[in-house]
Amino acid sequence: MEAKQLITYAKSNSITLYAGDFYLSGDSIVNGLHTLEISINEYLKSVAKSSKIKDALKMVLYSGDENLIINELSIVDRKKIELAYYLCRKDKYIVLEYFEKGLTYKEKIYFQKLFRKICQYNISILLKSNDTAFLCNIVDKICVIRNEKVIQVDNNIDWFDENLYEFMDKSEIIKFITYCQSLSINLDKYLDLNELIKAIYRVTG
Amino acid sequence: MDYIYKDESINLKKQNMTIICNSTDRYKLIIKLNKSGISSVSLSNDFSTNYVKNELDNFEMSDNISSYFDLNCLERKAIGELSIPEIAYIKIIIEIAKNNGYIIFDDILTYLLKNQKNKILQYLKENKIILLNLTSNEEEYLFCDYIAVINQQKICLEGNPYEVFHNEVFLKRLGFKLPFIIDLSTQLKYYGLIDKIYNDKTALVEDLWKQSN
Repeated sequence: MEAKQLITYAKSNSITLYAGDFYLSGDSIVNGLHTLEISINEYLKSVAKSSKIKDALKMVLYSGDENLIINELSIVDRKKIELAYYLCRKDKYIVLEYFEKGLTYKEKIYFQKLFRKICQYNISILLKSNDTAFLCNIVDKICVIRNEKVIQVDNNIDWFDENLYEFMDKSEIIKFITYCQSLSINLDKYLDLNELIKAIYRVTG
Repeated sequence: MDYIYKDESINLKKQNMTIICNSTDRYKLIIKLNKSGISSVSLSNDFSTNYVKNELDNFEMSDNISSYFDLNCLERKAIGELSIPEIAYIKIIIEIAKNNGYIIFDDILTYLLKNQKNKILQYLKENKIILLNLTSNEEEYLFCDYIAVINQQKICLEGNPYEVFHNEVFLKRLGFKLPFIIDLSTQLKYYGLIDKIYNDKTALVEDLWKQSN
């Protein structure tokens, strides 16, 4: 499935998640970057001036040497460089595939905030992933795709809807609450750990 | 103690082990391992469907393994149709089929869905293959019975999971998080709602539920 086909279903200036069994071709993070034998600087210079490159690299939390050759970078750094490239190019759409994999928790929190900020600049983010824990606080719309056909579209996402999980794993908090609810324990649908703790305190206290 | 890899700062013991580290430390460690002739299963260097298909064609997969991991449907897919989780799944299976007695995962399990992960972990256990899992995904910290935390290419904390999780503040300072159920029970313990830390939601709920009745 081509990345541009996904744009049809993307929500403008928002974050749309695509979950499914499809292979993503075309413009997306990482695909193709492993063969690039040019430096980060040369790669980014094709779309931005030196001063902008420094800002973009800082924004994506890349702190390594700008003269390193791209195909010698770790996969996480390649993803960061590709995001910097899209930011420099000022595309209307940014397609990110499994971007959060390999990031630490602290980095994930940072990128959740960054994605939100990017959307404020008239850019739509299209994510392909299966990590609900990372996604559930940032995604505005979900498309579930099976055999290259969109089988479900949700603008008002209920992360506790079982139908979402053919191609994704439930986050641990959702699993925990679903389990409690199956035992008739009165817990609402929380996605935040602190809210859940307060609720448990109320129920058991 | 038998070691898979040993140098001045990092000793990787020959026992099921989770290595918690960020991507930079992980990458540098993998390069060191490769230089000393130890390979790991990773997506980093050969991130192409062609590579996986070639591997699959060249490697004689036994019917047992193929059916254990339900690979038949993936083998029928054409080149270019495999998604990243499918590539990760096949790469892992090819490596564990070679069975060298141990396997090193370079943050690759994180791409898989839970049932695929469980199948792989079950297979490793049944075949007594030692797993060394390098990861920054907190839910994978519980897969092994020994944990080492690497920061700036040095082991800065190690021990059994509970000894390591006891250093919650230190882990958080390095940018890591506790696994959900450990984090939840740690905080519920602070509030005095439970007396111990659980790694299983059933036991935690049972304890909480008992106390409220």
